[in-house]
Amino acid sequence: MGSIGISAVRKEAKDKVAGRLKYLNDYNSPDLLYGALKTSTFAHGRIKSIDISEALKMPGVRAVLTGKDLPYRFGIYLGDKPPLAIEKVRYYGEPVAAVVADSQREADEAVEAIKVEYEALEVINSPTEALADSAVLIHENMDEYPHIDAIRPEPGSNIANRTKIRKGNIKEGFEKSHVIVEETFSFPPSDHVAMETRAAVAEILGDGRIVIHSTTQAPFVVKNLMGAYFGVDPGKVTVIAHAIGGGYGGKAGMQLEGLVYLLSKAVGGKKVKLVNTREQDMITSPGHIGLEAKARIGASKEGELMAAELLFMFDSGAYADYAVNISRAAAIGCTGPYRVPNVWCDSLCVYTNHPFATAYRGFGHIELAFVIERTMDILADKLNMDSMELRMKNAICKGDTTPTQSLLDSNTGDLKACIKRTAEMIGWQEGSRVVTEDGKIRAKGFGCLWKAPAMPTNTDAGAIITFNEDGSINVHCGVVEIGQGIKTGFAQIAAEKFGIDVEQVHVIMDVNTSISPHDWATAASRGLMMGGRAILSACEDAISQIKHTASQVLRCPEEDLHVWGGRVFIKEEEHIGLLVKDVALGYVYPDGNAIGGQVIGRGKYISRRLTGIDPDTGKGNPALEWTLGAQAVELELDPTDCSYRIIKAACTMDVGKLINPAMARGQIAGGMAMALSFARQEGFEFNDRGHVINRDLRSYKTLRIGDAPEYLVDYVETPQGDGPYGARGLGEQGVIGIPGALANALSRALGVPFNHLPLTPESLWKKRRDNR
Amino acid sequence: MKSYKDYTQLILKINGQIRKVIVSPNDTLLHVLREKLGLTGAKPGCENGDCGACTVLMDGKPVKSCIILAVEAEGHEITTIEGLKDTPIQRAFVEESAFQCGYCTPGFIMNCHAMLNTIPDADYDTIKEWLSSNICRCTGYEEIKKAVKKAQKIAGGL
Amino acid sequence: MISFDFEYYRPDSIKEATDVYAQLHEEGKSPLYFSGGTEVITMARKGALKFDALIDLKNIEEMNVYRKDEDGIYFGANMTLNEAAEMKDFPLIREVVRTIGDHTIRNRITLGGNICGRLPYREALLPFLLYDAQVYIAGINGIKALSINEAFNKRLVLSKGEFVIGFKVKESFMDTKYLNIRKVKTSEIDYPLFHIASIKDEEGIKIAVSGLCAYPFRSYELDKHINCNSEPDEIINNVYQFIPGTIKEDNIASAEYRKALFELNLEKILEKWGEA
Repeated sequence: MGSIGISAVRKEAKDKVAGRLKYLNDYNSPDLLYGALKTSTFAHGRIKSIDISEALKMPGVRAVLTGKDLPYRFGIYLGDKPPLAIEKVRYYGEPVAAVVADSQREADEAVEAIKVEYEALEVINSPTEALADSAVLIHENMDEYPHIDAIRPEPGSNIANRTKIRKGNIKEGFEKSHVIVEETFSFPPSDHVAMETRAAVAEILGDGRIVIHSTTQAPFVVKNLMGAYFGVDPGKVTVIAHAIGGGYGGKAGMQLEGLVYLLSKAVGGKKVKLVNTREQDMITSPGHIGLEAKARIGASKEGELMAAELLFMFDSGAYADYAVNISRAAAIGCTGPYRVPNVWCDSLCVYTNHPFATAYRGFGHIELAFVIERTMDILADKLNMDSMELRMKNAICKGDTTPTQSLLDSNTGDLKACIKRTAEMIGWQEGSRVVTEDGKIRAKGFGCLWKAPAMPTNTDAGAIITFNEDGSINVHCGVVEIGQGIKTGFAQIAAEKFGIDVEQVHVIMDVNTSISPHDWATAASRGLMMGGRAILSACEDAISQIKHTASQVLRCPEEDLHVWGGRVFIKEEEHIGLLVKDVALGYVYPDGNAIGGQVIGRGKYISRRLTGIDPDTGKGNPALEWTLGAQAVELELDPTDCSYRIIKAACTMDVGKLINPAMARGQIAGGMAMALSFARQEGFEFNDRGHVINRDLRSYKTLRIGDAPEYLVDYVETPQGDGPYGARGLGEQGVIGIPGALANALSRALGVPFNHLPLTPESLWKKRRDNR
Repeated sequence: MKSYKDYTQLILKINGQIRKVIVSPNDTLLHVLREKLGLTGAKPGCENGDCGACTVLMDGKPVKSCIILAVEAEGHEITTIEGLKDTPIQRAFVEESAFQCGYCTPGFIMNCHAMLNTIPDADYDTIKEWLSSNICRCTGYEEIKKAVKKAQKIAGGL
Repeated sequence: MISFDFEYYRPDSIKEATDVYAQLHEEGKSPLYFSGGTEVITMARKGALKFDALIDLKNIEEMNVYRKDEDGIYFGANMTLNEAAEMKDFPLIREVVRTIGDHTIRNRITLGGNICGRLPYREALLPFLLYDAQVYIAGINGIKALSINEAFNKRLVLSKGEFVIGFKVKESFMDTKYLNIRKVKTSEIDYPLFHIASIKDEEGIKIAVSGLCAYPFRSYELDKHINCNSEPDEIINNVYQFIPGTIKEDNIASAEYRKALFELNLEKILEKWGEA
């Protein structure tokens, strides 16, 4: 029996198909009060007046708050965001007032009665505009904002962070280059569209303890920030995360929790619930970052990359939130998975008057990969080389250094094997552009991926294992179930260690920061690796306790014992042993004497030997592990109107070790679907006043079943030496290479370079026309 | 002529049971199911008729309960996910891992269930037509397609 | 959630409906007829539509039937789009209505609601325009039957308190050949860039278009132009003088792309009819 490498059924599967798994908004109680938000109708404006007098008089209304009542600044890295706008609004949809009422309807009605007057300010609609010398400042007082050291805001400008990479000698690199390509790229901000919108409930108990229930991927971050923002003792804050209806990064950091706590405080600590409408979830809460970028890459005649000069101008929107770290992560991985000896990169996080950005699946890497993968194809064309071959030639591997000059060790995945397998799956050799009999064009495009977690150097995970009377195990870990199947993966890891069936391992679905062991956050695709290591360590701790008790009963040295299959026994004499169930809660002798007491396995893991990066050169070791992979897309395009259908999406990823094939495939195919949707048809559309036009799912279109391609997924397994059973992260990576691959396929199909997303048929049609 | 002017008692038939509930004319069916009857399986995803997470059956046909008034449901048989017990499509969803976060799942299952009851041998075009009404953001839809095929086999006794 | 109160009436007959409308109107209230409700509820939630009362027409038997009369086939205005799609007598109607919204929504959207709604597309209208259907309109003074092409001017022209109870199409159109082209931005579950429905009978080619301008249209002048003996190129070059509005520019498509695709597809239609 083995529990690793099998498609164990999700622990919560039956509840999910019965509609019985409760998400936060499914909990209701008569003592709840309800919050509602009044949001800005200006993208950039001075608040002239807010009239709440009518709202206060309305039935059921318990409190109405405006920015003046809440003198706080939120921000996970950079404290720039008031919970409700103060003096001015910086994006369309920004909350300016909040109501607490007895029912949602009364709260909504009161919001309608709030009158706000604005004076329009100049709207900044892109990073380029924001960086112009004449640009108005979106944050005039940036120098007053607190921030962590790793972030370098530039007061007096709209730059919230700049990360520099200086590797080798860029000038020499270009001098040695035979071919140089230079291009610009862009895509607008967009949204996660998790099917469950964000929600939070807060109450303040009689003794001052704060209890927050939230749709959060990061309950421990929320707890920590509650302390930082409000000066409350962290021990008095409990954050509870239930299962989540999709996160994709959008539910990391602090979301509605801080505001809902303030709403509760305004009504004497009563329990208040705040739930985003879909429209608010799309624009009031943060979404996916936008980008404008320039890439200049040089290569030798043979196609060997010599130099890369990259300028990333991320569209952070009105506030910094996670964006300042996304821009940093993009710098750290700026070259994509290729060996480049000379690198110059400036990665800027730029304020605009757009809805602000937070973490999004791929965290800096889906963004940088679009730039790099497109540039690779442009370079291949100029070199007259096959674009897959160019990637193969430059694929990064063990012994190479990253843009931060960090040496890739023996844990490095095998990118070349991934490229080879993906080329086979997509049928690369059979031709990457074919015109069919009915005049359609079938084209293929390649895109590689790499990703390392962007996280603090002291990121940790913890696990606790307890036992039941039948010897079955309870696994308790602070990673949140967001659909990735992590709880089941953990159960498999524990089952494997104890040699028992996965059914014999129980998981605790909710995370409660007062009970669960500390865990940094369910982000960065580090849950399986770090949580998995903590589980293994908890198992080992429990096993040593079981052996200790058993050794007394069996009268043998502890080290001669083995725990496996529900028994603890002497290795060489397997018949001499005890059932784990008779030991795990204390052993009882026939005469009634008891020894040992219950087994509680404690496990922990903290990231190994990570450092920050040098502010001037980017030198350092910030990456725990790199996941590598190769992707490809095949599509069929109608050249008359440029409409197209995606036929196949392929991915080979070096996952280290496959823990649960069905769930891994689900993550990777699902990631590809999300990225295809993003690259083909998503993105906020703004008018010249900075209003988001497509702010509901009627006008913002995500992929539907009829648009889905055939997914081809395969794996390479180069063990991650320090990962659980050799596994490494794979949850986000499926998105990364796809936008580039899609754009490459379309560029090949029409012979026109497509460097701006989304790749709607109309945008292709226009670009082709302009190119003629 | 029936009329409702303010909060009034409404009798609904849900999952084969008679349920009495006080509603206002502007309450959506989704709101009443979730907030007043404790049937939280139907999910609000957009409250705009776009995503299908709130799908329930009305006289056996899938409908989006966020864009139906509760008073409109009077006299109709409503079936929610709570009314399905170990149906072929539920089993198939588990076996084929046809969900990740699970939030869209009740809506998808209700729609699939209605489709398979109406057209047991639904082909791909039918599946595409019916299931294009629902958005899943996690899976990429592959496993959902497989689950429908699997449910057809289960229902066919294979 | 709809954040305003309203009354709800469900009359059992046409008379009850028009009476309650008149009565509410007299009381100074703003009543609104209501059929499938999908549009009304979404717009009300967004605050884009306000009313004091809804008059739900779904219990009116005459609006729920599909029947063959001596002078044609009658479609009750309450038939949902899926019900209309199941009636196989007119394949064009079936094809057109199956492209509106999504399948689940089509269990609620009704023919009457789609055609009389506030959204500018009203695609279900296209075949009825081409078939020169009779439209039955109920009002306080009883029921009147009009040719849909007369009753239609950018929208179905209804007086206060009137509502559509059904449509009648001559059986002779059942076998009429048709072409139907609907273009979307990317997702099929979306409003159209434009939707062209076309038939060809003894009078020639007829086309009706939705989505191209701010309202759907069919015009005799346009039909006449299309049926002239010019080359397709020439027909297309001169087509705009017969199109009653400006080409729409919105977040679905720019006017120029819409125009280019319209020309391309009109050409396709002319070609196909030429072959036929």
